[in-house]
Amino acid sequence: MNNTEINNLLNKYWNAETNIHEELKLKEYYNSGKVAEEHQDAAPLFQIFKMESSINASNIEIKAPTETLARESRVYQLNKSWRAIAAVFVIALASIFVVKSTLNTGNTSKKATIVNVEDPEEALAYTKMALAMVSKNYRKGSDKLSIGMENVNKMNIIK
Amino acid sequence: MKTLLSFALTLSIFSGLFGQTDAIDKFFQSYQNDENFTMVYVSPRMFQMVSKVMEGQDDQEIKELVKDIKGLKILTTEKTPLAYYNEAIKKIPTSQYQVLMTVRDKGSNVKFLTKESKSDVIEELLLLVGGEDSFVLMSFVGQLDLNKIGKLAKKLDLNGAEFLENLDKK
Amino acid sequence: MRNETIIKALEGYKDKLYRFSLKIVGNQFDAEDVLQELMIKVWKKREDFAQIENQEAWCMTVTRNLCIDKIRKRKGDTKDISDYHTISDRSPTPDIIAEDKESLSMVMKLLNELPQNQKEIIHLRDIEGYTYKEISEIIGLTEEQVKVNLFRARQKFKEKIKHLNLQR
Repeated sequence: MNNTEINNLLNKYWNAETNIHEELKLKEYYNSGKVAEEHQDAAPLFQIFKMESSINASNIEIKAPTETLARESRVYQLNKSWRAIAAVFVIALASIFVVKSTLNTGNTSKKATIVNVEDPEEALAYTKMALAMVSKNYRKGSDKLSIGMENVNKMNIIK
Repeated sequence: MKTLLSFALTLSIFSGLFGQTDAIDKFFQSYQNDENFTMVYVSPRMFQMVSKVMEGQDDQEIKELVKDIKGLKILTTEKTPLAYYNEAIKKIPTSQYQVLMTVRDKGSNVKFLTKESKSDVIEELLLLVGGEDSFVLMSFVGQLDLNKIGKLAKKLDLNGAEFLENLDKK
Repeated sequence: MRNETIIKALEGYKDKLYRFSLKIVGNQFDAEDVLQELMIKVWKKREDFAQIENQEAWCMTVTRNLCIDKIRKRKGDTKDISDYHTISDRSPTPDIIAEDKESLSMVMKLLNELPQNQKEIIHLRDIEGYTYKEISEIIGLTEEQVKVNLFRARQKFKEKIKHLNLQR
């Protein structure tokens, strides 16, 4: 293709008059690495098209979501007891604090109760509890984002 | 005096250990003089020891997650939780965090904020919960994988009660 | 419809679905979420799925709807969608030299600032190579509207590029 042809194609392109075949020709030209000086202006655009078209979803596995569905439904069933567990978690958390603060009776100044965990077992217990809260809320959030069974049922499939 | 000293000492340790996340640290510090708050700090050094304690026990999922956590901070209060929640939302520098998720459920607000490096891996995870009973802010520092957290949710459903038993023994 | 058939079909266009989703929601986390949700939708409807004439376009449409739902749900968050890191935040491949970077990011910015319709149309046409008919099916506009919007978007690029050139 000579420069005049490219110019014509580019003009048609800007005016949205190119067909898919012509657009492919332009893409090929810009990806060839032999772009004439006068056509350099449009090069970034085609470079971006090329970059974006190379993004892939290789990390996403396509599979029948039966496993997911089964899991979600179980979570849903457990939801009620989970709430209760979570509530007790908070109570457990609070009771630890109460114990800590009563031990710390010397502290009469108006300070927050600060617990600097020094025992690995205790640290692990706190961490698990914290993670439990995180994952519970994360799950709750995910459910809301309509991954959960609850929403799947409500889903209006074909719009 | 002794309390004050140890307090000052603890402070200096915190600021040293959590130096890399000073924005959220400042936020924590701003509540240090408020007697309504309780703060829990688990230091990176403690997490190193935790991973030793965990050897030979516990579930793989939990191990996987805990080994990547470098620090944990919890801030909680039972006084006017919703007000503190809203205050926290305003105070936390949103330029540094991305909102991952917001959940409103029966009068309680939950927000996940993250400081991200790449794709799913986050460097810091903030969880804010403002309910009728309590306000909780948690900060996890470390490389947290959201997929792992998702998997953990499943595990914890089954093991939650067991955790509780262990805690009650304390 | 057999699972393997669906898997094979979806495998064929998952990259396109992901890119389109990423374009609309602007971050990987939500884009991946959308694909998971799409899979659930497809499987829930797997009997009807076989009857769909253009499965790819249908999947693109559903993906688009899921993305829009996702964005709507996100409203009310303290941050705007535009604050999420988008593809534009990805630094171009290292072999791109520095002087190119500036014009690249200018064009990228322009691309991201296009009105939603134009952004989607440019994406579907210039990155995925869909026909006007397919695009109109996916985003629910007439072919004429698709063309007009594509024209407007490309004219903006033309102007911008001319402008860049004058500055040099």
